[in-house]
Amino acid sequence: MPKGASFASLAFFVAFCVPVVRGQAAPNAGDPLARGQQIFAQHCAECHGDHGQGVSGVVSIAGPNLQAEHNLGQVLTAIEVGPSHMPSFGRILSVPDMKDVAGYVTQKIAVIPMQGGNLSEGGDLYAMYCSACHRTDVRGGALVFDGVNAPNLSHKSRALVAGAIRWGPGPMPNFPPSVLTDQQVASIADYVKYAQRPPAPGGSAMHWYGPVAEGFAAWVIAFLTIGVAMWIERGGKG
Amino acid sequence: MIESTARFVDSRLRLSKFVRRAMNHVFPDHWSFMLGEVALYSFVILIITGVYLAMFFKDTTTPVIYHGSYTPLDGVKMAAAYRSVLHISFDVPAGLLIRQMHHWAADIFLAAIIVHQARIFFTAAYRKPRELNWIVGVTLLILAIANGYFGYSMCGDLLSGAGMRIGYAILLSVPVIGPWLTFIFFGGTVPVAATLPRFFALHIFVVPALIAALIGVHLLIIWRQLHTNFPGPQRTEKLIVGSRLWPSYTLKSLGLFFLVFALIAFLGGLVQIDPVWLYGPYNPVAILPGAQPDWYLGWVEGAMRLFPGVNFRIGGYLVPEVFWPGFFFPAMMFVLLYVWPFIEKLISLDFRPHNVLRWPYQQPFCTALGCATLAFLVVLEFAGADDVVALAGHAHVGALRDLLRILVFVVPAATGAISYLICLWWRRRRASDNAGLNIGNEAMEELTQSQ
Ligand code: HEC
Ligand code: HEC
Repeated sequence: MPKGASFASLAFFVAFCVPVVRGQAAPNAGDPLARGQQIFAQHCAECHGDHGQGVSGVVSIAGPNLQAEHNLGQVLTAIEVGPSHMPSFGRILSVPDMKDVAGYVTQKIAVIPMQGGNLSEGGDLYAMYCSACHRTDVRGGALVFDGVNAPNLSHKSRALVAGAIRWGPGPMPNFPPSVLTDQQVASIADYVKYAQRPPAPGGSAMHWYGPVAEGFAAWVIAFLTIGVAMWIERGGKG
Repeated sequence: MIESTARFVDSRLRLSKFVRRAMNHVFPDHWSFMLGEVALYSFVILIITGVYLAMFFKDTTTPVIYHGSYTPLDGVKMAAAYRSVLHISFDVPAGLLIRQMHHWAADIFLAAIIVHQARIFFTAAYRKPRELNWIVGVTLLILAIANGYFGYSMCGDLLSGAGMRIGYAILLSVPVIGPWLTFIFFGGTVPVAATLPRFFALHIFVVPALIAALIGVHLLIIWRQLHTNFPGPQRTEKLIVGSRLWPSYTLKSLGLFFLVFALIAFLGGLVQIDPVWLYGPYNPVAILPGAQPDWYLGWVEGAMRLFPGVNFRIGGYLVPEVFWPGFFFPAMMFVLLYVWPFIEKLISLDFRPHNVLRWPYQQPFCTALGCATLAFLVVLEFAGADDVVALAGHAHVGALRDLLRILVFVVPAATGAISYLICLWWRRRRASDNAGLNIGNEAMEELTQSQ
């Protein structure tokens, strides 16, 4: 995503270089994490919840769970740019403020570890908790669920997967730490990441459409053999 | 050397007369007569690959911890059967290739049977004296479907476990005898350890032996009655035109065998089928929604998805909703297939034996009926995959299902009507068209009329 990347580098530039150039000292410089927490409570908790767990309901204030936002650059970009329904804080917050709140989000809110997952445990847990809706191949499933399909997860980032488990978007149930520990969430995220592009030792995976694609391929080949039989009958002549 | 061996055998078994007659047996020259052979050769490949797989497959559900070379499942608890399938796929030399060829061959076996049977139907080759062979053929179709089901249900992965559970539910829903039937086939309440050894015994001994025996009967009957012929010059009820078994027919058929083998090996080597390692081990707690069966059972799955949920009682017995689409409907389809040659007699009031075929356009009603049935099955196949279709098309699966509930009647009716009209149009066009067939160096043989 070149666009996102350029936003991120822009944000980095803004965050780290601009203050030095301007020689501006941050007012009441104290513990950056404590300041970050303050700013978060002031500006962000309204939409993202007191602990960044996300808020559901009215679209204009429903912010997603931030507990998997580990990437400082991405968080800074989000604050600066304000994706979709989120307002842009580029003019509201000073650069050091943005930096502090972003640091608070990535260090204190993002509690779901992105390391230490176990792939095979993740596969087991995924089969138990997620495959009922998203199917084992993570290609998503259609539910008779007031018109909402469980989406294909093959392009979702690990952070988004981990976050979705905690906040439960739309009709999807949420799985609090009492159900899935942080480490288990990391395992599931690992599994989803793996299953997005699993190795296909057997050859073409036919987009993981499973028996539907297999049946289709079998019929294509069956018709090919009919063609061959016709060709043989003509004595191999055209 | 060859000659002296032949003489040695002949002086003891007195085969030469039989062989000479056999070699002169005449087979008609038309591509559609080779469709059954595609099925036969797929079966041969199934046997060859199946023997190899049977050497490594374990038919038990004993829980084991996996530590094989597929690391994403390392340390996972699974049935010994599933571990053995992973072992075949990742550790046995050429194991994955053979496994995939086996599965592809099964899918193609069934497709070839259907196409072959459609040819018999659309050319009315099932008429007297060949009703018996039609019945043998329908039995082969049922056995092949059953064996496919047993086969893919044995792997112990989540998908096959889901299939096994659906099969169990269907059998259990049969009024009165359901519980006994499940006890015979599944050995108790699924999931139960007794199921797998039963499926394995059925899959590798009982059903293949029955299929092989019936194929033998099928061919013997053809041998005895001789083939049918398409209408054409010199092709009468008493004469068959075509090529001799040896050499032309044997070479043709051998060529077909190698081509079928090549196509199945191509698929087995280059197109992945049933990646059980991705589905994970079967776990009765885990649910897999919209699990698709292999294609030859997709129509039953589709019927189950489209059928409205109605439970009612007959004589005090609760008949669950799955019984109608899952058991009654396929059973009726097969019964109708079995009795079709006799129904056709009642419709056409033609009780004479026939050795000359009818072109599809010469029997508009039968052709329309066959096309409508095929269209019906195709719509049901789509219904069996409705969740995949809905997801791919970003549609609402509920709305799609309602649409399919209408299409399942409209599409067959329209297909039937259109094919009927095409037949009539074709018949008029062909009315005076008879010429243009080269019969120069073709062999002929008197039909041995057994009636
Ligand atoms: C008016 C409500 C609102 C406020 C206030 C708000 N957000 Fe958001 N935020 C959202 C919404 C809605 C989204 C989801 C945007 C989307 O659909 O991509 C979001 C997304 C994000 C994301 C994730 C971006 C991504 O795509 O990964 C981050 C990080 C974030 N917000 C941080 C913050 C921080 C830090 C603050 C406080 C400075 C804040 N937000 C204030 C509504 C809000
Ligand atoms: C009851 C069905 C159900 C279960 C169980 C379920 N999901 Fe979902 N999931 C959904 C639905 C429905 C959506 C779409 C929500 C929406 O679009 O509003 C979704 C969305 C998601 C998304 C996408 C979020 C986004 O914003 O793009 C992810 C990632 C996800 N689920 C992961 C998981 C994981 C991991 C699990 C297992 C712990 C899981 N889901 C369990 C139904 C389910």
